Amino acid sequence: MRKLIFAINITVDGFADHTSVIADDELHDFYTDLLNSFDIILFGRKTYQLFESFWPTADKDPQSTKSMLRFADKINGLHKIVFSKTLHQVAWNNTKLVKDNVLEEITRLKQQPGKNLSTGGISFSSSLMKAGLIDEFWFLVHPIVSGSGRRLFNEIDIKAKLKLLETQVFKSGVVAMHYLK
Amino acid sequence: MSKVFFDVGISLDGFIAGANRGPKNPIGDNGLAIHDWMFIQKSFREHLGMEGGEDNNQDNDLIEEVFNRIGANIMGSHMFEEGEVSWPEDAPFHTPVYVLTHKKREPWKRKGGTTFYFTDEHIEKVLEKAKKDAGQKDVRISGGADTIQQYLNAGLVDEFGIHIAPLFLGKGIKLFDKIDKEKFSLKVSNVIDSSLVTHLFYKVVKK
Repeated sequence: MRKLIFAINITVDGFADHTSVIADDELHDFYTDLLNSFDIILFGRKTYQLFESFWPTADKDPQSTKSMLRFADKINGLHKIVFSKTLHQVAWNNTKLVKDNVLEEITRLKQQPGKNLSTGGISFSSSLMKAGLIDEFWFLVHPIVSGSGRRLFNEIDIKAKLKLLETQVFKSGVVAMHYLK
Repeated sequence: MSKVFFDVGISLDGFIAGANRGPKNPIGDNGLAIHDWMFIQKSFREHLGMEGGEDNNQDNDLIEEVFNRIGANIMGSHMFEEGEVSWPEDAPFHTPVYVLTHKKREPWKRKGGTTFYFTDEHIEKVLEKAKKDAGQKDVRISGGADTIQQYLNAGLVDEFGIHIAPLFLGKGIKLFDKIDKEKFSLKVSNVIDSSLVTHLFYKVVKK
């Protein structure tokens, strides 16, 4: 059975909006490696729109580094599913829009053979956490305090105790913690 | 040079204590589970006058190191009120402990070197006294969250350690709340992982 893996950047004080942290080359390399273990990425609307606005055309941006381009290449090629009731169309290649029965659809995908599934973002992943669908977590704790923004964990109710699988420290001071449910 | 630090266990979702905390429910609902990794260590048990426990591992050594560096403690009134009813007579500090409170009370001397001093002076003044007591050793801001936030936002903390337990509490008291990010930035100084908990150590760099 496929596992659903959740990975997200978070500040020391628990904020996870995309504006709170900046990923450097080392982090893009990390995420590119992680993407190699997936064959589908599951998105909620917000993260999808943010990604769609940049990654398909990252190679046109003069500020894109080699690491970013490798990441772009990888994510542009992967299969993607965006779950949203309000989106009408998706422009990114290899992307499918699913409007209803989110949890059923993900449960069905998990039962199919294949590589693991990936997800990220705050609202979407919270609902998946609540439904108990996430099997592994990667929290990448950045050495910054944000003070405000969107908290990753807002009254989530998960009784499970996780098992720490590994910890990785990056040059930037980011600490990646990998947990198994 | 004596340092000012805090060192606390938190849940993955950032809580230092669960909901409904109080003297009758120390560390709140399910909050004790944050410290599961600590309760089984010999060094921690010794400080609470309990026998047994594991040693010869880095978690145990870490607890010992933290205890050994402390020359004085500062804590908020809620933390004291919770602990007052549950700490043994030989309270687990063995240093002067300054309690920030508006309630007037004579110093409370316990067995084993712990004396609680109750003060409503400004936090900076209290820190000066604690530093004097600590001598070459360090001052620990023991907690709770509100006291830690006050010292952090006042730019008075040099470094801190957080011990992230692999569980979610869902509700409770956040360690980092109302933080003034304009005051400081952070640098990782050390990361130690074990199967039970992840220890992260940060230096606070004033802006």
